[in-house]
Amino acid sequence: MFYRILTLVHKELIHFRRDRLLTPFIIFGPVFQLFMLASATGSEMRNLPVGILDLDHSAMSRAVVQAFSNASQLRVRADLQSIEQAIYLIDDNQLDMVVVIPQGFAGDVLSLHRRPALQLILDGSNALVAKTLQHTAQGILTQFQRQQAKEMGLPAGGSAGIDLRTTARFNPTLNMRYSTLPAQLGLIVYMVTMLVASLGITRERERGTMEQLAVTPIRRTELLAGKAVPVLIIALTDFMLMLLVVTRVYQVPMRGSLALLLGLTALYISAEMGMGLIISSVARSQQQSLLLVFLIGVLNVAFSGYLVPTENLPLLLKQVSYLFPLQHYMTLLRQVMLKGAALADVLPDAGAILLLGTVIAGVAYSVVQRRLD
Amino acid sequence: MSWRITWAILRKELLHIWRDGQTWVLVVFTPAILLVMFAYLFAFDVDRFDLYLWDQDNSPASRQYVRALTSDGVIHLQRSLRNWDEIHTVLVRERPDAVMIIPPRFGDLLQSGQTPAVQVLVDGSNPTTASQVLADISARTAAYSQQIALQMMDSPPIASGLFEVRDIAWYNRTLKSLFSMVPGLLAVVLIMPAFSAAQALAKEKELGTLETLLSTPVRRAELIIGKGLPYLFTGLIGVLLTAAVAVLWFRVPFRGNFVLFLLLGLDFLFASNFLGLMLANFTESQQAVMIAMFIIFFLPSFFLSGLIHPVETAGLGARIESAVLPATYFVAISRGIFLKGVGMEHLWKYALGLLALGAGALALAILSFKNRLA
Repeated sequence: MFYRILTLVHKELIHFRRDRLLTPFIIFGPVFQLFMLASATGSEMRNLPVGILDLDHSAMSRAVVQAFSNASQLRVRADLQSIEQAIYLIDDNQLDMVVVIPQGFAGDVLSLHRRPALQLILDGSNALVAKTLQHTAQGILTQFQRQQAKEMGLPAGGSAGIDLRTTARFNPTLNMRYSTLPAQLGLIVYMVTMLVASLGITRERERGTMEQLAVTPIRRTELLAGKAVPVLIIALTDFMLMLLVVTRVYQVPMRGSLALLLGLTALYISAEMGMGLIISSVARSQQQSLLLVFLIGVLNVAFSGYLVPTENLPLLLKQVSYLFPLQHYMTLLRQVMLKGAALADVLPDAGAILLLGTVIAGVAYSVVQRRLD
Repeated sequence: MSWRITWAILRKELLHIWRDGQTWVLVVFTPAILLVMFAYLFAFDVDRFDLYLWDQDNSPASRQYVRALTSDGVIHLQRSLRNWDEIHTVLVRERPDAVMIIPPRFGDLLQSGQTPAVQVLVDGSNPTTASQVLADISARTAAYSQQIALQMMDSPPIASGLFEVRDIAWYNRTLKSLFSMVPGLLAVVLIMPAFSAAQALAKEKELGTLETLLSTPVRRAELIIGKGLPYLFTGLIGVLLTAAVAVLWFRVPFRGNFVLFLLLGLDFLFASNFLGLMLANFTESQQAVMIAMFIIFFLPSFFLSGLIHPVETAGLGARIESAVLPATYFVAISRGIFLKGVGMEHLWKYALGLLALGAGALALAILSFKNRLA
């Protein structure tokens, strides 16, 4: 029996090696995506275009302009003449924020009786950029006020009350890559597993070679195993390759045990593979199975917490998300890689994958059985 | 080029779309379905944080501070912790948004005018939420501090700030990310018709029916244009549907001119469909063209189109890719019309960009087609 499975595995791997399209796609596609994602999410936002409308023309307003110009994330344009011009430039996407310094600003500040107001106008059409700018501007202005107060010989303001000390555990600089790249790793494992597994049986049927397999002494269980083992080998190899890129090139920490991570990944691949085999035996053509993989993939990604944690989902959808193995796997990846979690820490999610995998495998077995008869 | 022949090809292709249910679904309905999926996937708004608390002081003052933080329900007090071991376990196993440690003698220090240090730990494995939680807790603590200071001093402190900073976000007052993501995502999901157009051409190649077509007096230009246009018109139904989903389901305000939106939607479909057909020209099989479309157009549309990060932030290579992505132009158009309500005076350059992309792709498709068959 093992000999027959081994022969099948060998045959599958030859298929894979000779396929001119699949190999580059499965090796270079993911690497390309990984680099792209890293380049898009790695650095903080810089060169954000900001305009300053200085209606005061005083030494102090010029100092405000200077404070903004010194910030490295911003590209400051201080030559605005009127509010109409500011509106036009925001509407034209040339500016993401305008700082308005009102007339008489310096005089009001120095008088100490009136509290003048600086106005920030943000372009809310990209909320993420607007929020970043809001925080940046407030930081710059707090710093500026403190410095001005010191120069004017006033006591440092705002010191009374609570001193909040904040620490971001596992990722002190809040580097986006620490979360996007492990997620991307999970997505790649998912995609490769599904693509390879889903084409396995469809292709045999489409080309009529299934008939040939049917007249050999191979049994159904052996056929399934023979189709499954190569998927496991290919997906695990891909995973290790990408893990190397993520940890070595992009310096994402690997704090947990590598053996644990590989074991959990193998468990996850085995669970997800059943889904691919189901698609493979339900679809009538390769085109159909590709379409199914794509649609189910989108569903999976949406519920996996790929970019945004599932906690943000509405309650009903959050409960649905527990049914997707990818969601549990992504949680595991982050826990083991970033938090250094041990097996005991990840038991709930690992158990869920095992359970879902068993159910999927049962369905796969009966579907394939029916389809082959 | 004869319009009669182009029309004949166009009708044949429309019949194909109409009779093949799968394509019809792919072109018309998937964009709307994908929009709903992606909108939840990219909803960065966090409207509830889970806070775990270790209150070492447990005095009226510390309880009052926690109440001030949690009163409006955005910060939700999840559970009390008692030692560092529990904190460590919670951070590794559960997903607290923040853990707060209030020191002993917090109340006494505050009463005597000193500043007690409160420690906040956030889970950095999820940086987007972590930074939002930090900003939120800091803002609430600052407001509370000021309130305490005012209570304790007889006269209000002069130097609680020399001036006020007021901010206002135009077009999206509450800075809800859903409102800016949904119009932007239209540009991503409306690529689906281009997938179908590319696949249709590859299919004719694969099945050999392209040979038959080429033995008729049909010219290359007529063939390519006749193949592309049906997907433009059926794709327009997709534009209508997705816009309806955005407005009716997600309640995104639509402030601009709807006719202009449809026209520019057509412009976007023109660019993306002919880029798809051009790609199909260079590939041999349906599978190959699907994969190429996915990697060259679909995925980069999320990250390089200005949907999330502004294009200026990316490196040079990424900026070049973003210039040939139709999504880059349509993200700006869609947000402009939906949220800003602006017209052609601001959108003409994006419209022209799409037109140029489409025309370039069309020309390249026709030229390369000729070369391949010569």
